[in-house]
Amino acid sequence: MTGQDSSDPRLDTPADLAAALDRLPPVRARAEFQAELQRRFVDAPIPVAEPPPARSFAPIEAPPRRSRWLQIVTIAAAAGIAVLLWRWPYAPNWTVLGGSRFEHVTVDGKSFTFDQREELAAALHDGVEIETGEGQLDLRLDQRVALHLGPQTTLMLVRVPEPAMGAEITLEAKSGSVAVVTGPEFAGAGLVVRSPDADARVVGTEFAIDIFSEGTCVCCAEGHVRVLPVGTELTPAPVDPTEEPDDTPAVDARAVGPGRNNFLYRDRSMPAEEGEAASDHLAPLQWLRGAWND
Amino acid sequence: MNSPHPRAARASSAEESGGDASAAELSSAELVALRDRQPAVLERFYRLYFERVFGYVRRLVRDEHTAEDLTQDIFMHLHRALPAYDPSRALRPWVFTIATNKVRDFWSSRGFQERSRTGSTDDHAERHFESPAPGRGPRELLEAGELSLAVQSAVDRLPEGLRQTLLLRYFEGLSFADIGRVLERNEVAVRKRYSRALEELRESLGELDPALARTPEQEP
Repeated sequence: MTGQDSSDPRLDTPADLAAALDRLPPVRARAEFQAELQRRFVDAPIPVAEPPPARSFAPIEAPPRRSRWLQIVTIAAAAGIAVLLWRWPYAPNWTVLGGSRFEHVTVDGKSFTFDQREELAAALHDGVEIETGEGQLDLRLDQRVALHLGPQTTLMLVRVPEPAMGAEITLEAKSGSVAVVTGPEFAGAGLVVRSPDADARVVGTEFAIDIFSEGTCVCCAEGHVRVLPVGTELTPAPVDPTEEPDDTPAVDARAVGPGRNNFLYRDRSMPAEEGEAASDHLAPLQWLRGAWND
Repeated sequence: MNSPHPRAARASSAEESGGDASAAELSSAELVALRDRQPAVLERFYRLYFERVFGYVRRLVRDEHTAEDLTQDIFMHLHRALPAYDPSRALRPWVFTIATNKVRDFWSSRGFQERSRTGSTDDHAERHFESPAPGRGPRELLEAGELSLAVQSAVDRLPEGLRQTLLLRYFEGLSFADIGRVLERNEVAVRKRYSRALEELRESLGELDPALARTPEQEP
């Protein structure tokens, strides 16, 4: 390699390898995906919000020299702060919205009335189980996610990491119905909602999960949701070409797009069904979209 | 005959899809309008960058569904981050920094770690795609006259760090300094990675037919 850094990378690349690389087959996306994303990007701007802090793009500079004592003090201070933070666990910032009325909602068996919304929000930690009983509950997790829990819903907050971690939010719906709207600061978070029959994995979208005795219905209003039978690997394991093919049915990992639904039966012998999203399942999303306006 | 460089081919593609044939990148005025998220410029930006971003991501992750998810995430992040974009800075490195960070976050995710055969994000980890021609390596494909598939197989076999460097340098034409900022490496390390990537391609493909490198004027 010449060591030059010109705008033309061919100057850094042997001619025959460059010619070979020029033959690399192009990668094409699905036309419907490209069109849908264009519509969202150009025609439906996301509500204005402060973007999450961008990673540093500053020129790389040599660190300044420091005295050894200053280095020791800095390390000790950092260790002290780390201990302090470790002893001060992250508490998710939940808000109970006033849109849906309820008489009693229980969190890990403890009952809260509608007038005790702040106490209820403070009780929503990792691992708790929320039961709505006869009522309905609307929740907002800072600027990332808003949820609507319908009557007779049991939802566990399995894991709600702090935003800076970029880790996935994990919820488990055991019964009832859960509608989800992602918020202005959702990007990069990741969310999976598990039901007895399906894992619904989210990338910036709006959808509703309704659990029935026969199975789980996932209706998508905006964006797309990847729905898989619970416990299924998202990506099929690489096929060993020397193995004999078996009769295991292929995993259907297609996305549920806007206006569509996917029903996964509890009886795994029955294939999943696709169709139009049910308007009554999507109804709670109309109100949830305004969850970011206060 | 030499094929046009992929960036030149994209300029032609942009023209075919209604883009500005004279500019494969946005003008200074358009960059300001982009920061303000004016719809016409958003559309032009999308047309210029969608295939490049999707192609970059798709060549780095295992499957198309993940590539779609990441691409969507990248464009949503771009849209949100545009108000903070400085039009005096080059656009391409900024876009590919965001794209690279999203891919890196995906590789670091617990789900991916559990699915990965090696369970490591080490640059030397060998995570391969499903081969375009299972059971046949680049040399076999070359011998069968399938050059495009051979090149694809050879590129897919590169470790992720080397593949990233190759894609950013050869196909996006970023400088080594800019690639260093994108990959959070110093420039010397990036140059070494590029050299290693070319060495591994050479090892996979062997010495290629010199006719590949001839320009039309050099044809007998």
